[in-house]
Amino acid sequence: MSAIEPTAAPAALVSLRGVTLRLGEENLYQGMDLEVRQGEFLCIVGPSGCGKSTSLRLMSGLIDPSGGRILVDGRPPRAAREDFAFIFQNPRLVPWRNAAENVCLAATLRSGSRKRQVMPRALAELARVGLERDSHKMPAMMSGGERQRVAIARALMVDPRILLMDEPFSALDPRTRVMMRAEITRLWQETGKTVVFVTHDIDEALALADRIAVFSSKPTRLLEMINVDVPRPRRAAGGEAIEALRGRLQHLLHHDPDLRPEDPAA
Amino acid sequence: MIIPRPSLDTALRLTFILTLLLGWLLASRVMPQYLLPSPQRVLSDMLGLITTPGLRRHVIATLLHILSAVGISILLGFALVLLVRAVPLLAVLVEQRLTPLANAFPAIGWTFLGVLWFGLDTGTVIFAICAMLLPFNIINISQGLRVLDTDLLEMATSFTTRPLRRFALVTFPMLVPFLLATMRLNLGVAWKVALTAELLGGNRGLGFLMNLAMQDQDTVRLLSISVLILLFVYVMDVRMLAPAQNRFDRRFR
Repeated sequence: MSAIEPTAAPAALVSLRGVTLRLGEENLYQGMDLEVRQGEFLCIVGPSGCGKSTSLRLMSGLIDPSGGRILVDGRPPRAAREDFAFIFQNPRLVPWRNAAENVCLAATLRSGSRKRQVMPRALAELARVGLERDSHKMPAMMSGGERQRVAIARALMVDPRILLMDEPFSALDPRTRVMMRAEITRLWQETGKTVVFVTHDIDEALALADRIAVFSSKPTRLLEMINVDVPRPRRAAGGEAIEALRGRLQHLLHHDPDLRPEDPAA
Repeated sequence: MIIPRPSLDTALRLTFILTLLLGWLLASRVMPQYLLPSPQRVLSDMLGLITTPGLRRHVIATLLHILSAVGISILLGFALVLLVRAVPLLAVLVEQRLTPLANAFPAIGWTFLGVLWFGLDTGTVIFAICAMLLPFNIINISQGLRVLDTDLLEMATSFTTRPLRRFALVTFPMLVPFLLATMRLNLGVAWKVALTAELLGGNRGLGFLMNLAMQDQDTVRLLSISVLILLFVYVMDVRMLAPAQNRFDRRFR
């Protein structure tokens, strides 16, 4: 099968049907259709300001659409909030709690559990992201990569069905970014979670995704859904299939100067 | 600007206090005692205020007036600010009408109204202090809520659908530095208002005692009460609240 041919579609876990979104006078979305499948790694790429991050907020019910329908496993997003965990571009750790306490916070917020009840699990999640020795560190004492790992552990702490990742590695240096990509691929393979990953970076999408949703500029709609049928681990510079996909993505995003290939991916 | 080293800083502060005491001592030698008593007499009277049960109850009464009024006014201010957040329509009423009105109203006005409404009692003193502090609290707390880290609030919302849990775990801790700053401001203002309110509308407290001292032309008592208040404010503000605020500020950075 060619890398850019669509595969047989399993049932959607999240579906956006004809979604519209007006922010003030602006039409941000106009008839957005998108499906996220159970267990897949979906990347979303598109021009700057087209509303990639907004799609994650719509899916998780943080904002409501102006029109259309969003369903998460048959339920409206607000009713399905507990299926999601968000990982933001900025790790958004609370500065008055140490790494372990930040991870506990997710469980306390979600289920009201006491810190001491969930601490062993929090330490296990920190160990999963390689921070078993840093559980006592305050956010101000951590590097950008460490903070983002804590944010990942915090998201995993609530055992979500769907991980929403909003350009989580864009603020990291290139070397850490490559490491974190490998890390998130390993975690995804290990946990079997569904991941929706917003990125600016074509190579990052090509390194991570099962499918890549390409958004248009505003008013935003889905330009094309591209299957990345290439075995992992992937080398950005390697393979005809990856090159063909990169070419296709660049063609689709031709008009956006912000989207540019970066250093070789994992 | 020259920033003094800690030891030099301490030496400067001590020198200032010693110079002030020495100046007072020398001045008390040349001035009549009924106008400026010596520091020793004032210190002795101040100790009497703390150790004599009949006088100590006035000190305790003032402390209770201040602490209860600060507590009530902060809670009331907090409740009003939260109400405005929940019902934005009330913002015009609370922020643009009630706050400026309460801010402009004189302390003496509140005290006399308190006397008419509640009589010469503790209630009047607490009412007058609360009324004076409320606008400060509304302004400070609502400003605190306005500048909260919206990223952290969104993070919290992404994990929970329960507003109370989000408030307790994320919003309130972010407000703590603002609340401490509000409390410091409150205590500073409350001491000043408390004495006026006790003097005019109370039947106990240091203000009431000052009124008696004034009638008796007891300069020693007037000065001993003033120095005692100065020490209270210093200990509360400089030794307790300011370090606590600094500690929280550092944690929030």
